[in-house]
Amino acid sequence: MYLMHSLLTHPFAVQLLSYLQDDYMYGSEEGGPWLWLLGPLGGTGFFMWVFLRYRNTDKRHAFERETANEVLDLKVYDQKTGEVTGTTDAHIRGRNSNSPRTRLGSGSTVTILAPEPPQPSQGQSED
Amino acid sequence: MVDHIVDTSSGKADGLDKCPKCGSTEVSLRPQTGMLICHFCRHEWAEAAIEQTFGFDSAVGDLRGTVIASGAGAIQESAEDVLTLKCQACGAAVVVNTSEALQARCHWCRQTLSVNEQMSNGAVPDGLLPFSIAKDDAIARITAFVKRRRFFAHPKFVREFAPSEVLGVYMPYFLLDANSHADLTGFGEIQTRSYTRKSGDSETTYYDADVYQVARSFDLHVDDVLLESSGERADIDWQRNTNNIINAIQPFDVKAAVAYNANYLRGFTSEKRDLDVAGLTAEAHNRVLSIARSRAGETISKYGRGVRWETEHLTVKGTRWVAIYVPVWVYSYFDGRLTHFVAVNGRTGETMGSVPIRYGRLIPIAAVIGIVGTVVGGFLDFFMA
Repeated sequence: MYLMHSLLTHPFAVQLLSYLQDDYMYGSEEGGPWLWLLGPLGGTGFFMWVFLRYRNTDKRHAFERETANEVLDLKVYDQKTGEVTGTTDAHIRGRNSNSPRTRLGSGSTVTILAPEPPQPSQGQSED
Repeated sequence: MVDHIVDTSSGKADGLDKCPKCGSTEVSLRPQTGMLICHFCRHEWAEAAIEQTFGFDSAVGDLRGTVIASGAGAIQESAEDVLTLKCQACGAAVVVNTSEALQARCHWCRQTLSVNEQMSNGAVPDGLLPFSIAKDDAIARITAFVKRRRFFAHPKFVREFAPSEVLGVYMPYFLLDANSHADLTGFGEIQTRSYTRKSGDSETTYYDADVYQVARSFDLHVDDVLLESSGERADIDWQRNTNNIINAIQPFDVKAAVAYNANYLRGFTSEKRDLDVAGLTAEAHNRVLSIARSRAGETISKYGRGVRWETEHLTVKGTRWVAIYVPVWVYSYFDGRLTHFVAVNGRTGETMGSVPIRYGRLIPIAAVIGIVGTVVGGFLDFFMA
């Protein structure tokens, strides 16, 4: 069971499913091999649906969207650097803008600033 | 590492924690009101809200360095969980295991003794969010949740299902505020043309796009991220546990958290914190970076083909850490391999759970769907060809 779940959520399986979907959407009208996948996909799809409804293994708190936060002093930079032509990918290669929780390996860095030493108090009077 | 500590201790010694009106120690939480009630004189009161009392509501942008509340201090491995309390009423020595309870009844005079001092084993937090969902309500929610998932549920689970065994548990978390700055760089693409070409029987879609270098830089003030401070609960892996269920019932209205008072815990259990600030700093940065990426995502909608971020840099100017307990009603069931939780948020009533599956029923039905689908698909293919 767990193996089946892992296999279906494996990136390769996701890729395969998206190809099959493309085939379905743009495929010929005379039927074709995709019709034979109706059964296997229906069966595994039903299994997955029940599994997730009962076990809820995919449920997490979406803290990245639901935590109160404030963005200030936003600076944006967008500069055209080139063009791509004739690609068959519907998205930019390596797209990660839709997975904000995934870190970028060595591209992710953190600096911790030490607090400034306390300023000597000014303008305080005893009276 | 820690630059400033905010003292949140109550100043009370361990032992008798009395009703301010009549002096009785028979005090507990009344979930309907979220207040403490004295069972002797019926006086009701609440501890002060921690945010205002200890200044945790001050502007996140003013935070510098690592500020921690005193209940969020480092855990000393040598600290004993078992504490001996001296009953101030009769003088008896009463032992309490603080990893399980923060109150004990004196076996001689029947007074309730409370652990009030913040110990270095992580058992006493700075504040807590009292239960406001009563046990009956939690039972009803758990029952309804499971009832909708009976057909494919494991028969042993259905047979042994006893929602009245639900436990009210105070789960330990760190409440984190962060004053930070984020810098992100990457590439984005905007589609300029799409066209299809035929080769033989199949068609392929091609895309042309403009490529942009993208950078975003902003200050990010994050308020009240909840970080699991129990090592066991922080380990979320669906193949080994169902801790994601406890995680999924967030958020909690943590602004309503009150100062710690052991009487809030009476009748409930609590899970002891075993992670400290040093052990969770990397995870805190990870959370803040995720929020930064999510916010940056709102500014790149013109890139229809998406953005590939290549670098993300977080500058942490200041963080504030407060240890709190949040209320969770938990029903747990061990299926021989995994402990399945059904959990109810003790404040909002949000319910989530894991129900063990009867694979002996699910697999044959999924297989029948597969076979029927294949026959129908083959039939269609035959007639369309």
